[in-house]
Amino acid sequence: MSWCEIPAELLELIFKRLAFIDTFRFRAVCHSWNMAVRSWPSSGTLWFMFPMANSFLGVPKTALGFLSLRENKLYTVKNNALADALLDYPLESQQGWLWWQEISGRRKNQMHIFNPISGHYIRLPTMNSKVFSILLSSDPCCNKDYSVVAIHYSGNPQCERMSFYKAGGGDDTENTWTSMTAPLEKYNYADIICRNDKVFGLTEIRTLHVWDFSSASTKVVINPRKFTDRLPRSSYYKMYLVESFGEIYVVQQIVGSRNISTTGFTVSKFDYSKSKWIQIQTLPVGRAIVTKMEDSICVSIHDFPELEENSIYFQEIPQTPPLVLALFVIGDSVELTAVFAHLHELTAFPMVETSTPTVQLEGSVMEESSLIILKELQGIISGGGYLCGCSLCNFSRRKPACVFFKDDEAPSSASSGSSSSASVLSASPLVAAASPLGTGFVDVKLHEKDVDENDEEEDIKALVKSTTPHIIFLGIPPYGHNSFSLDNNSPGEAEAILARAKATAEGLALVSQALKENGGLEVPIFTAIAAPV
Amino acid sequence: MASSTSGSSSSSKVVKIRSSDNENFEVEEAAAARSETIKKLLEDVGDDADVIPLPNVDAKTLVKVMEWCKKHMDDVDELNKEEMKTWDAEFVDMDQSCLYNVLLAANFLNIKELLDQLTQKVADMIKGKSPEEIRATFNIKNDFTPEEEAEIRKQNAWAFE
Repeated sequence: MSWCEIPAELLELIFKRLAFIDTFRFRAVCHSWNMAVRSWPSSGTLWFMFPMANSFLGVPKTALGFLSLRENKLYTVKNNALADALLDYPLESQQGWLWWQEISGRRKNQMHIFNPISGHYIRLPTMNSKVFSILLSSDPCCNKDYSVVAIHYSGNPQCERMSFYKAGGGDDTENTWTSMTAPLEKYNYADIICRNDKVFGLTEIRTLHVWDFSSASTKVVINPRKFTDRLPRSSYYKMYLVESFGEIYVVQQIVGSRNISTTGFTVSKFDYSKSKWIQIQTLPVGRAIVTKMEDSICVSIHDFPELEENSIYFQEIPQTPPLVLALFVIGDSVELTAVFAHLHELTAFPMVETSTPTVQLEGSVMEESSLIILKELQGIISGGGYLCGCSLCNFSRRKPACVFFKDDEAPSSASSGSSSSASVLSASPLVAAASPLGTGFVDVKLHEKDVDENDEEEDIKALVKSTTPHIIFLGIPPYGHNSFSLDNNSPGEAEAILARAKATAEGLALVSQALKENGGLEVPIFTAIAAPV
Repeated sequence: MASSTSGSSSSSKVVKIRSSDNENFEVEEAAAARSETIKKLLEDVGDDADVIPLPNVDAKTLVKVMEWCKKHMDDVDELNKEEMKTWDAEFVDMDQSCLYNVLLAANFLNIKELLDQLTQKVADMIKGKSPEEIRATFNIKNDFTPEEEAEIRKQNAWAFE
């Protein structure tokens, strides 16, 4: 008897219970375990993958972020094998797969897909136009006859088109993309997904298009079946298409009047027999929805015990960077129970929307301000960003200058010195004490004047301690179109901006430091595999 | 060994089962029926059943599995949930070869809840370990060819920042 010979179905049960990081190690144990993992869909643990290639964040482009819901942890992962690809090319995820298109060089326009969990890498045919989105009909890990659908921009006149590629043909002449239909120029798709050889597109006018290419050879041109019933209009921020047991749902993320945060969701199911959308009050039993920018999913809570039934997991606005996740239980009022954002590497803030560049601050050394209770701000504004000077960053990471935004409460009066101070005070960063899916926010008021700085530091440390081993994430206050503009030359405003930047950066550094001391963010170094065996 | 806590089951009918090494056991039907496999067999053969042979499970393993089934044959009320948790945790705390046998038996006998507990235990034993440590824990030989190993290393060239 040997654990190597354990039946694959048992091995899969075990694998599904592993934490994200352990899935990598699992594969490296022995031949049969490795082979087993390669044959499964890549859903061992549920995670969100974020390409870290974000110049605003000042993090290496070769890194990927993996947010594991089960562990409530965000891993920043660097893959050296992918370094070249990630250095120059955009990267998105779909069904656990990364895809990218080479934009220059000898293999210009070459398409690639890669599954970081299973290690599968596939080079797709070249697509001689800019691809926006890639959909997979099934997981290439387990199905050799998968199809790939690409939404791209091509033709004359240039417009959005859909093409597809069927793998498993073997014949090289077939090994190309086939343009599926007439251009898509008339409609923009709010979301588009692919399930079981069908592509579902939700138009911006809230009708549904369905392409069925299950019986199609690569040469057949397929037109969509168009349903004209429109979803009821709401002040939605984003619509997500989701498939569950063959049914199609649309999740509308509703935002408040000022577009600054999510206030609720509606879920509608498409009734094929009546060709109508029907709003539903609960999800199918035992299901939860995880919305993503691409490829939102409806999953069983049995497969993913980290999820709650009848819940929607979503990225809170802002979407860029996509670091804030929250939970909405249908039927309740919006309940934000967890906010995730990585420390430091992802100390990401929304980009400031201003016609005047932040150049006015160029070279400013962030000085201690009376507004701020935290001393020793070690950072400067440079190149439109904030260079954090804490011991961890050591001026090596430029953060976006976009920590500078006005408080929601005082949009008009913020130009006067005193009230802008007030607005800065109230918009303090949130620290979420994120026990598994969270106990909610703890608002650490880093900016309050009267709090003794040492006490404050102690508070944060205590908070970190009390929640260890759970990780603590810094959340980003929701923002909207109320960014600071620097063109009114208000000294009070500038001061407030500096103060706010300082406080935020300091707060992050402090929490990070406290985490370090308490071992909260210790990510095991993944050297074992590379070490001699 | 846990004693039967039932008492409630009025007609504690007994079924006979036989291990792969030909040992016979008498088990309360309610306990044995925790196994979907045995339950199905019982339904199929009805009352004519003499001894149910279980050719995939040896006596030592069968004792262990039936110990779990006995403990779990009644519904647990809220009060006893904590106690049951502790008992379960102790139950799955066995050496890897025993765990292996019980896991295979639970799979063959189709006892879902036990299977859940055992696979969770194995996952816990893997948690945080390097591949070498996992091999050591489960007494697994590294059977990768040098080429495979090179490939795995390449694919897994992940370094945590």
